[in-house]
Amino acid sequence: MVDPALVLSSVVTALLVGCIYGVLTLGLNIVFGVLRIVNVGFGAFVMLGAYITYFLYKDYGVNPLLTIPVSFAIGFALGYAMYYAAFRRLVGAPELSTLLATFAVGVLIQELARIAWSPDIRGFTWDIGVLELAGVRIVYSKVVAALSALAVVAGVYYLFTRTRFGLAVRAVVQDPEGAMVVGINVDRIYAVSMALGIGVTVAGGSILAIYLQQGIEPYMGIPYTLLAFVIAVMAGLGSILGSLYAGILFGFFEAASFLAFSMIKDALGLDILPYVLTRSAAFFLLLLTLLLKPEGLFRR
Amino acid sequence: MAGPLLKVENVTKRFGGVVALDRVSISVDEGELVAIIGPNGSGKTTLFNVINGVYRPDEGRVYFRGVDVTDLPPYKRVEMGLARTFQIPRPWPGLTVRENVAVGAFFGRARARSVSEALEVADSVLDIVGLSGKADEVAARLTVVEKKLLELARALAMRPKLLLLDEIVAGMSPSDVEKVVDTIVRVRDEMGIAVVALVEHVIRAVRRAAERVIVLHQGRVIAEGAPDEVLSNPKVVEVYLGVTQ
Amino acid sequence: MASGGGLEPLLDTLKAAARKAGPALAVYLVLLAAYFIFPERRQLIATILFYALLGGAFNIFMGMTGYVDFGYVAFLAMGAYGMAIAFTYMADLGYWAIPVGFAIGAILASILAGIVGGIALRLRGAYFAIATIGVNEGIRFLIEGGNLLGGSVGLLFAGKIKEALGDDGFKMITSTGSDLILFGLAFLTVAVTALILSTRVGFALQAIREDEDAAKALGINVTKYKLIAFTTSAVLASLLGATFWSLKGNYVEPARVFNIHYTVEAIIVVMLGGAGTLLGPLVGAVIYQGFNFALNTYVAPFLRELGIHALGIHLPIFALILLAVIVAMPEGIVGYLRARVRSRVLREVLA
Repeated sequence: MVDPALVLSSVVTALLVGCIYGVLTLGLNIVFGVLRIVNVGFGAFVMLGAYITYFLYKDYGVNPLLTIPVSFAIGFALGYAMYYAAFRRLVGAPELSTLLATFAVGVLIQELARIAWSPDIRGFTWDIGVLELAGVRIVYSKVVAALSALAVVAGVYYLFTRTRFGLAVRAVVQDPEGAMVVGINVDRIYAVSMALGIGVTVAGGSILAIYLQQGIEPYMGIPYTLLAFVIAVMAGLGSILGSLYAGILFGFFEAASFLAFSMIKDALGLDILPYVLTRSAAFFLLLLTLLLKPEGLFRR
Repeated sequence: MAGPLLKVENVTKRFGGVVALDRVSISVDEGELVAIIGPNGSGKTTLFNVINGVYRPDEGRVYFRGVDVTDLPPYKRVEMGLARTFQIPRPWPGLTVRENVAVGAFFGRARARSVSEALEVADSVLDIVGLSGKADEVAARLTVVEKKLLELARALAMRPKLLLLDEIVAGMSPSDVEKVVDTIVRVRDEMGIAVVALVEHVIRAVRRAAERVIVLHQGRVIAEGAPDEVLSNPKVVEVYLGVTQ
Repeated sequence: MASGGGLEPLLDTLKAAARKAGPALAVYLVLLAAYFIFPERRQLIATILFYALLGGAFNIFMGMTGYVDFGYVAFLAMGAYGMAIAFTYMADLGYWAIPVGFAIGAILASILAGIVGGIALRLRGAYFAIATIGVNEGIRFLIEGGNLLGGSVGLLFAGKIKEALGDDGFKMITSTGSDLILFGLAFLTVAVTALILSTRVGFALQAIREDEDAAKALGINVTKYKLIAFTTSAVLASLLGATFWSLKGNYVEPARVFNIHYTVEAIIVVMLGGAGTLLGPLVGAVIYQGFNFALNTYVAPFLRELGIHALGIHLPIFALILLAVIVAMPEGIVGYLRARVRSRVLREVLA
């Protein structure tokens, strides 16, 4: 009764979009994992990355893939500046302060974007072909976006597990004072981690833009804040590879609930919007995860 | 009420692979003054957290006033008359001394019905521990000894049946120790509250005040009895000689 | 020690609450007088009232517990929908549609608060924030995607109000009527806040804000008291949404009533005025609206000439102010506010 091609294409979409979700969540999780700060202004940085790709490609003809490192660099600089301007004094502060501070930064960036670039919805077309496989159309640009996401996750994983920096970060996370005693510059580790987290988030915004190519507007990041939180909670706050696994798992959840809502719509002849309901289902999944397994599905 | 006020039966508590409490059984009668001694890491504070309900034991049961409270949350136990102080005092820093104690009067067994009633209780208890002069100070500004007295007052304001004191005299000067121990003995005598005190080092005052001493070592009870008898027990001497000099 | 009779503690509590509520009630009475003396300023006064109430209801949860509810605006939306439902589907109730609308909104808000709070309030700060940031969109997308209650278009029910109340009734309820209800809500919010601060609930909430672990170990049922504050805040917010958006505005649209901007503004109003205090949200609302008024009247035309989208330019400015306030006080806004709460409010009761 269900078209096998539809199922196959849903699986492919779930995998591709799951990688994008994974890299977005990674940006959130680096900041939380090291600084214990929940970046509530997350969506604004995603939006920023999308705009960077849009402008560089549309106005200067830069290959969208090359905009990813540019976004990362801008995000890195921004995160570094944010740390020294504000968050340095908030490490270890009551949660209320850091939550409100990240929220305020998000609102600031979002509103400045609206004033600078207008609230118009923008989009671009970057067509590099389509792969036809067993009746399923796979858009190459989406595949390229997903591969870029995997590359970023792999890079971060390497950085955190195989380098001196990674070792220092783990020492700081375990015991900041102990790390200080053995000569680690804890302040710098925090600064670089925040820079890295924001850099990955903005780069993730670029990857998202390559994947979607549409719907770029100042408030586009808000729904992704919710999604990234759902995925981060599933991953276990602060987990690196967990972000990717949970991202892909969430991709499948989304695809499955989309199929389910579509079938309900057709079977009962209801006037509903399956995709929008999928977004709502994400929220209920979040509550359910918090209720049953608040420490995350991929912890240890 | 027949039977002991508090009965801890075969309680085991593990943290990962570490066994913090290994089949510990103790009991405390109404109005009794018991000291639990043991070196750092012997499981004393874990035992308090199990009695108080912060931790759930992996095995064994806890009975308070004849009721199995193993599965009850801390606030239910407090309502039944269990009060505690912390090793490192944790008054609410931004509230005044009087307000801190008033919270105790609201939520303990006392269940004050209005703010003025809670404050009355607070004032009378502050008088008992000798903190009346600091009633309007913000708790954050107290000295460590005063914070410990504040915690004692807060616990007393709950009108407990059983008072758990975690290292209340640690770090105090000998004269402060004498004063606090006197206060505790007086409270026990006048209000009929049973007291269980955790102590790392046996001091003269403890030996004088405690009616019974229980020794914990590596999560196990290794000796129990009258102070002088227990402290001359070779096993106990060995533990203490091994740990302190 | 404990005084006898059953009535005495109650009277004590009421007296303490009245003493605390006094100053804020007086300011609202002055505002009410101004409303009648200067009819040409009614719009401004109603807007200030809206923001004072937006902050006032938010204050009961955030100000007293130190938890931030990013999904706050969803509770206003529940109230707005409640009133919209009453008029859209029960217009034949006439004036009774108003209390019924308030009741539906309050019930919807309580249910939402019960579900979200029941789950999220067991968890600590960060997880709570994460859970609440989804509330807004979760409910909004449910309404839009499920095409419920008018879907993404929403409910437009000015006609239904006319049908229920007649032309004169419509004119009255959409102007002076709803403004007076706002005043009523202001008195209610002050009374509820004062009552909470004068009872064990207030003491429990402060202990939780100061050190939740200690509060728990010392026998406070922390989840219960957080839930009380959360639900109270939610219900008051629903009454505000029902009055301001439905009775006054006659139009409920998901994109508007679930707009996270209102949560931002609630935070700003509370933070400007002082969290946990009775006068705080009112002071915050006056500063915030005064600033907006000046900005829109004097600065915006100038910016427009430079080609800058000046609409809503106050938000980034206030975001920056908020950030500066937080960073300037690294011990936390709570620490700073703590001092205010103590000196202003608790001191009075404890006198």
